[in-house]
Amino acid sequence: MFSRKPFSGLFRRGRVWLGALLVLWFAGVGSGLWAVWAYDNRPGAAAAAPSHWPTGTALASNPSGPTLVFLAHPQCTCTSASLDELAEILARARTKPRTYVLFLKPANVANGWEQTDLWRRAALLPGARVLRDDEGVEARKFGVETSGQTLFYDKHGTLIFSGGITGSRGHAGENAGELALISLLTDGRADRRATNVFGCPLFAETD
Amino acid sequence: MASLELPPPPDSIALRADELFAKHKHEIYVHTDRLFASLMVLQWVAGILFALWISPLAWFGTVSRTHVHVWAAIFLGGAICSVPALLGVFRAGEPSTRYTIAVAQMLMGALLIHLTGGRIETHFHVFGSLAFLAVYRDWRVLVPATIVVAADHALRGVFWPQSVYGVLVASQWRWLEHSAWVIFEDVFLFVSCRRSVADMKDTALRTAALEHAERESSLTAAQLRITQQQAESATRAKSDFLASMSHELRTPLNAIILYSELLQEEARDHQQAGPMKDLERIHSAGNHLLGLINGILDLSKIEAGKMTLALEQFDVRAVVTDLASTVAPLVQKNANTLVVHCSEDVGPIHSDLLRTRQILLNLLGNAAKFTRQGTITLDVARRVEGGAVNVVFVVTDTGVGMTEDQQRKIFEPFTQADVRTTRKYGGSGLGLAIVARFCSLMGGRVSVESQLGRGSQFTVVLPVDVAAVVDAALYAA
Repeated sequence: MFSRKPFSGLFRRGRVWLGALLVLWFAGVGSGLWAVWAYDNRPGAAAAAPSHWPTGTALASNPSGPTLVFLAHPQCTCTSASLDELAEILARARTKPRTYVLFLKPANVANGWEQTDLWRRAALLPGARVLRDDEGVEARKFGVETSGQTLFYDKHGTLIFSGGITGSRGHAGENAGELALISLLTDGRADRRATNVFGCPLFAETD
Repeated sequence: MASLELPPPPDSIALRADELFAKHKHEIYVHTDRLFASLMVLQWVAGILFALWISPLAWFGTVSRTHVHVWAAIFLGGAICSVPALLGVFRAGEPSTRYTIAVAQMLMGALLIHLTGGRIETHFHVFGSLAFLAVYRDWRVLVPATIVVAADHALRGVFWPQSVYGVLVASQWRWLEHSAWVIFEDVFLFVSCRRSVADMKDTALRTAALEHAERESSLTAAQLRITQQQAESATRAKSDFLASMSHELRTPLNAIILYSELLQEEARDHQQAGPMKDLERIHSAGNHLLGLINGILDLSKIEAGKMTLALEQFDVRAVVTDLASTVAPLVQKNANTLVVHCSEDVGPIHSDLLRTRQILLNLLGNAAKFTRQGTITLDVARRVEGGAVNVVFVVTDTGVGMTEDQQRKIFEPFTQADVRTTRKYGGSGLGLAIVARFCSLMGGRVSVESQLGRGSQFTVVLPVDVAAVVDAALYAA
């Protein structure tokens, strides 16, 4: 015996399949986005920076004011956001610190490897001293492992702040590290002395 | 009898408007689904290009590999875009398609914001997408889109507040502030959608009403055509009948008149005074009847469109002089005086001589009939009116005259001033109807001015060259 609408069951089944497919699709892409967010928000290895200005470093601390040390991987695209934030900090700071921007130059790469767009942008920062960190000597002295790590030493060479200045990996915008540094350079104090750093590892496990 | 489909009742306008509105709405849904299907592909490609440009590689010291963002743009972007793009192509117009597109559009916005490093400019993708979704003119699609944006902010606010709000600890209600801006735009889009839908409904109603009016108008025109055809057919049938009947009546009537004349002659020859009176009555009645039948025949010929004109050039003054002598006995019968004024320059006209004579004979005959011991005047002159050259004949009498009501009906067939007129003066009431139709046939006109008890004045205007003003089919070339 035929039903009055022979295809109604098929349509109903089709709708159920479509509904199930859409739920699966939403769950799938939702999970994918979640994974991307998780990746972007996974911090890099924190620095084990010396609490006082390290001895043996080629960099000279600023005896009359604060010193900022920013260490970067010249090829790391995430560091672009960190440089933006550094520019923001320097622009908004009432006290202008002595600023070092060090770009890693491993031994086994060609000359000029470090001369990237990031270097050129860093060179435009007001008062910043942009230097090459051959084989990561300075990075190791300051205990830094992740690109974008920013260290703040006061005029006595005491470490006041160590952390990243972006909210997540390669993500520009207001963030805790940036706010802490602006506060330090403006009011001389901050409610935070460390933040997560988001960037490429400066050294491979084999380095 | 032809039958016609009745026009739809007014309720059907509303039904038709609903149908048109639903059709238009569906067309918009289908069209917009297809636009979004294309946009999905475009966004997917754009996402990959952004990722390749902004973050192609992730570095670990001197070692590099493809950045997670590139893989996310390819695979996650593809997953986000593929399902709505396919639905937009294969299930265009379905509600599930546009809701899926709305969700996908916002998810794609979230991904693009990530791929571009959270640039504030990329956030405009969210607001632009909402505006684009409003192209559906279905405010409901804004709901899932807004929910996705709100959920994105709420979830990330809980798990990674710094990535959204720039602080490590944010208020648990901060997502509401961000969502409120989206809802702010939604409000305007909602109003816009509602107004668009109202406009669409209005347009549908107008279109349905127009269709209805066009349908009614075409039905009315068809009905009118049928009625006109039926009327013309009935007129033709009546005229054919009258023409044939008139012919059948005239044949024996001519015989009666002829034989009554012969009998009169015989009676005169044999000096028989007895039957003479009766024979004269038979002869007179026969002539009257013949005149009546001739009138009917002329009228029916005109109405049947069978009357043609025989145009020729003739001298008006000669015709008028001839007519004056023809009607003289009739004029004198009621002790009337005929005065004729024919201007010197009236000249010749190119017209139908027989019909022109009949027009003037009818008017002069009527004037003579309805006037006793009075004056009948015939004025003839050539006159130029609006570039046209006409001859004007004016017949004036000092007879009984007519009321205004009688003047209005006087050119209708079988109409006399009133019933008593027929009884008192005789006549069929066809004379003036024939005059009016002949005038019209020859491209002229007739009018009357009259005062009851003081007389009447009939004015006939005929073109000097009838051929120049009437249809060639009406006369023999």
